[in-house]
Amino acid sequence: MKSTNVPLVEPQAAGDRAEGMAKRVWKYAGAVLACLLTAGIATLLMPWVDPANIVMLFLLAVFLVAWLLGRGPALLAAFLAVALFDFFFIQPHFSFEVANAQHLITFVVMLAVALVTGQLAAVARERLRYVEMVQETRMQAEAERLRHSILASLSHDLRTPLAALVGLADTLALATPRLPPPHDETARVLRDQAQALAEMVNNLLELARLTQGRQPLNLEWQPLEEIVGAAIQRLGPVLDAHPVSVDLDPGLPLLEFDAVLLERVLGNLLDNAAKHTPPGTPVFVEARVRDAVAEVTVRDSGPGFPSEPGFEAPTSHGLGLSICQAIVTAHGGKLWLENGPEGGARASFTLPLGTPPVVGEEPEAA
Amino acid sequence: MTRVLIVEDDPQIRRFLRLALESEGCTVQEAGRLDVGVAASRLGPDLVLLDLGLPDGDGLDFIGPFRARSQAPVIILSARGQEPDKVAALDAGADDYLVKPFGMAELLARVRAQLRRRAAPGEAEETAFRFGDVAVDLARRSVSRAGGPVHLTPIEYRLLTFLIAHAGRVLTHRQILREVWGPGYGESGHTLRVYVGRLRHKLESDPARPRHLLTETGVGYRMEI
Repeated sequence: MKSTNVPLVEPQAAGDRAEGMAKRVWKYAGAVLACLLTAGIATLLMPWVDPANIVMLFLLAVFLVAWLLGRGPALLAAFLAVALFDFFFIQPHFSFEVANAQHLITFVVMLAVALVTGQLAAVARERLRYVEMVQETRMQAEAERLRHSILASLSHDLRTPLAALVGLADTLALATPRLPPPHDETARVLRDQAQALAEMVNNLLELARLTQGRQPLNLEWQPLEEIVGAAIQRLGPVLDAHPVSVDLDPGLPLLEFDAVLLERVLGNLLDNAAKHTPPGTPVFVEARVRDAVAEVTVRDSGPGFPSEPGFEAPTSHGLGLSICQAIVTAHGGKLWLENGPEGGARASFTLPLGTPPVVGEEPEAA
Repeated sequence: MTRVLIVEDDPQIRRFLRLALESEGCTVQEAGRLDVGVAASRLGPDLVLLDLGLPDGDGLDFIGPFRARSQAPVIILSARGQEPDKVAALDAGADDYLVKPFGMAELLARVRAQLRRRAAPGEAEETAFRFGDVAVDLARRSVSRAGGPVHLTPIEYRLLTFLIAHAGRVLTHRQILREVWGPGYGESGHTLRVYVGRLRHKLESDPARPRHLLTETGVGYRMEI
């Protein structure tokens, strides 16, 4: 079976090319600016400073450009530094002419030193940045692993005593001969409360897993019908008091989703519908293709949401709906709540349609 | 008397399992560690309840060697969200799983179903099956529903007979694909799902709420007869 790892949080879109270009232009502008600034400072210092030391100032500028802005700008700065030095500080001033051939040697050496230090500084800087990046990635992976293992052990440590509690309370509630009346009732309440607590812990753990960053989705193409049936089956007695009517568009294509997580969404929505409506009232599960998405709706015939809820879930529905929200979002869909025109609460979510694989027909023979 | 081996590290869960099973008339043997469980399994239990996360190892390592010696059913005790572990355990030869927390009724129903399945004599020779209003006759290769004939494609028929042959047992997607489609189809989960859907539309009275061809989400299917 195909299993695709999809990070819950979409990775940021690959670097915008235009933005990268603008950034580069700014770096070269910085190199030019640095050289001009150095020339300005050197002009102010000229009465007191030897031309040889002005060379040093320019070399320092090239080095800083290399360190801060990288190789390309450093290259530009090296040539510009030599040109500016010649133009402003070598006789005749304000001209590229060179009166003394000795100065040619100065220029060549200055250029060579500027190029070499510039390139070395830039390379050193790049390496350093790379090392920092590697360390950062390593630390993130470490933190991720730590979170994962804490969650796993927390999950085990919370679930184990709850499983024992549910089971032991159940043996009491079903004991033969039955416990005398008040204790019999207590045993039942104990069992039900433990069961409810276990369900809450399950929800919390699941939400933590979903929101802690990366939860691998086990995406497969499958019919929605199967998962609707599985969710109803799993809820079992919870739905006993409500007739459930399923109406799925027969033209609904295969959808790509994580079956376990989507069953959870449907289960939570059906559970909410059953718990917040009077016994005997029907619950509906419907699915349609609308534009480029499949739209699934679970609606009931109860009093509806207290006020128009929009996107914020009423607190009594809170945790379960938060999980639904997280799961649907991870699938690239959206979830919303509303009150139906004819009353009752409606929870709907969408799933993208995509291009399902084709499953061939074969002739009937048996 | 049915002998059940419990391999589970939590003493309170073991206590609950013991109480429930003894109320059913089983004799119970407990192991809190994998090595103790492996040693105890040599005594030939009739059924094993196996937790996957044990302090000294993975319960998965219990199944292979045990299967080599015994056909007694193995029921996995697992938590929700552990679907890959369940699939691995079922592929290794486990028969069913229970998701913690579970109550006594659920536990005993699964235990009884597994024991009944193993006890069914001459399972291989039986050629006629009924579930709901569907009748399957393997000898005549015919399927009928409410008296009228049902037309199945060759693959649908193979799929149905494979599920019937292992009724009551959870079969993983991989197990079914390998058996019905052949070894090359291990990656075609969607094909299997589509075919199960078609079978449901032909055989179930409400395909969206099947009563016989049941989905074990994230794991596989279970045929209930």
